[in-house]
Amino acid sequence: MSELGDVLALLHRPEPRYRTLHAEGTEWRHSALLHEAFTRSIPPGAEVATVWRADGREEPETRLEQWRLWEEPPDRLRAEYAVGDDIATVIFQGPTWWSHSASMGALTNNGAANSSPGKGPGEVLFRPARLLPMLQLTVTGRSEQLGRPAYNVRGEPRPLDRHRDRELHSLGSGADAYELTVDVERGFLLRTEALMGGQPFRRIEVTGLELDVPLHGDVFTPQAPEGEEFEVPHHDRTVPLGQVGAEVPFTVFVPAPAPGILGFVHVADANRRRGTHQHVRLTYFVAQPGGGHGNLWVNESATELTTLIDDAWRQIGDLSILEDSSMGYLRVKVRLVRDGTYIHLETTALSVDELVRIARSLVSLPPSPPVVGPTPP
Amino acid sequence: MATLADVLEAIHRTDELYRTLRAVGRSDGELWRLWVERPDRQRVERVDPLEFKVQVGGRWWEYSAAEDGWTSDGEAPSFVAEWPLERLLDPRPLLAAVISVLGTSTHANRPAVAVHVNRRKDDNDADDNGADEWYAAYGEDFDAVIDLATGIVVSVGGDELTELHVDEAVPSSLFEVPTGDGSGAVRIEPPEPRVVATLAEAARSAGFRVLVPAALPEGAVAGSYVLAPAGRPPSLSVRYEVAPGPRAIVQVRQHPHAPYEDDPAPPWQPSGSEGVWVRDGPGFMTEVLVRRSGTTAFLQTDLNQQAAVQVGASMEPVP
Repeated sequence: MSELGDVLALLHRPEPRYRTLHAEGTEWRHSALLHEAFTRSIPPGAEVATVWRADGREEPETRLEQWRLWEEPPDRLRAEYAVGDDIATVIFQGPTWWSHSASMGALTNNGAANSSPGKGPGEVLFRPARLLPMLQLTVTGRSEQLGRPAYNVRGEPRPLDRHRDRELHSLGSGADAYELTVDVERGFLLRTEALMGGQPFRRIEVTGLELDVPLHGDVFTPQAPEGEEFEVPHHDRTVPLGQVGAEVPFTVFVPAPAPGILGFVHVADANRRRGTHQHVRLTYFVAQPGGGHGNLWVNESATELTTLIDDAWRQIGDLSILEDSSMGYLRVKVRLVRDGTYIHLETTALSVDELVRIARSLVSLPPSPPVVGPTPP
Repeated sequence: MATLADVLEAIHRTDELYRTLRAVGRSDGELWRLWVERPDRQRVERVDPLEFKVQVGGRWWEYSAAEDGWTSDGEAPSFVAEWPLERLLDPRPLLAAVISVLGTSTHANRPAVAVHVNRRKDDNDADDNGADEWYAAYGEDFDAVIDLATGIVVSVGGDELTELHVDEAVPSSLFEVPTGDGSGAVRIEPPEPRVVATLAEAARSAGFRVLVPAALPEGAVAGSYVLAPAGRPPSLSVRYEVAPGPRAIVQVRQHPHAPYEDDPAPPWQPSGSEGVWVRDGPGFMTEVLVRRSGTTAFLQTDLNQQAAVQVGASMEPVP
């Protein structure tokens, strides 16, 4: 058996790899390199949503965050990990999950299969087989990590012809290579490091490990913070445009003519914890001058939108306008109030003039769908 | 006796284990031929009727004798549909599953290993690593035979490679753009659909009896009428919209009813109106199927089911 075959068999090993697991570790990121690597991993023509911090604080150059994981196969797991400045706790028991964080509150799926929270950065270390189709592995040596014998393995991304490398996102998308430390006894990963141009930009590492020891009895018992109860999360509803008027207590406005293909109509209910009000979001796919399509969003609410208009906005008549390049590309935003409806238009695909023209074309939507009847002769 | 590590390594290193490959195989009883030249040239060919797909790097083209010869060119490979037996040439997604060795054997006179493949219980991300296509084709629990020297799958489900030759010269002409050498008419540009402005013109040009709804959402306006390209099976598509918004859409695509088309099976449900079936479509859409006067019409709309059936049931031939 070759050393590579040995390592493949270790990583491929069927679960369970332990009777119980209690692991602690860290995730280190270099913010600028992580963003650069992620950006270059996006295929040409693809659209990607990015989340930006809106509190004006600078993202530190590097971040080091802790994570913890407990598991009792086959179906009990608890994870604690950082999400932004928040700490998320998730517990899985069979098909049911519970989660809690300061920003999201206490949530559960009550056993429904339509959603699942993440299990944190540590999870991929203990599920390495799913990476095997997408990495070309070379064994580079032996070492010790946490006093445990390990293989040092270099993995080069080898996206399958017909598949994107989304799963490599868990290690760090866009890397030239990944340095993996493989536990010789159990075949899980003790450390991963994503590299671009020889520079590390994401590292996930186990710093404490207990295997096959009894876990504390209540580690898998969900407990909501005092004064809170677990709630089933409310998801945005997708509705036909013709029915949206009946779903909300305010007049909905639409561009006329439609500026492109109407992709989605979402109705989001108010969320007290997030401080959001009930609103409607229309997403149009609009043709771009250079070919392809971009997005145009129209958000509407009976209550003023949470992000305030400040000095950066300029006024043209009843329209407030912002050209926002803070994310490295231009986002054009236009706001107005019409018959008590607060309307926010936003696009990455059109010029200010085009978005202003669309804002001026808004007409009210009848409150009920059209009736089917005989076609006129 | 080959070990699991030998099999995993063969699959993992399949890219490096041969420079060229020529294979003959069967998929659901049909005869196919395949040629591969590393790093990026591949041809998959059905023998009868002749049909082939060639990929060279990011470019691809296809030929079909039955379709009077056609090809597209210049698209990225991810947009090309997978042809039978192609999947067998890239077994790497199987590494995400649990593979166990059943025994060694020979296949096509070559050393091979019979294995059992099981989806991992925690692999909720199979769509990311390609394993989902294998599960969709063969189930989440299946047997396969792996060629030990190349790592490729030589037998799984109804797919089998019966001849396999590696590292022999492959004629480069197999990977050249077809130029109309007598094997059939070839167009480099995909044929364009015909677009007409009026129902009367569409009905005259369609080549079959066109159905039109006598009832529509109030204010609905028809867009352009799109007819199948010349030489392709006849069809007609039109989209009705109600402004503003559009606050309602009805998309209708129709074609002559073919004798081999059975009545629709569940989830289609009879609507209560003769020759009209209904089912839930994607998202909040409703779909309606209408069979009348030798024509089959497929409607997709954001109207509710009752209104959608009302439109479908009103469809009559254009006078």
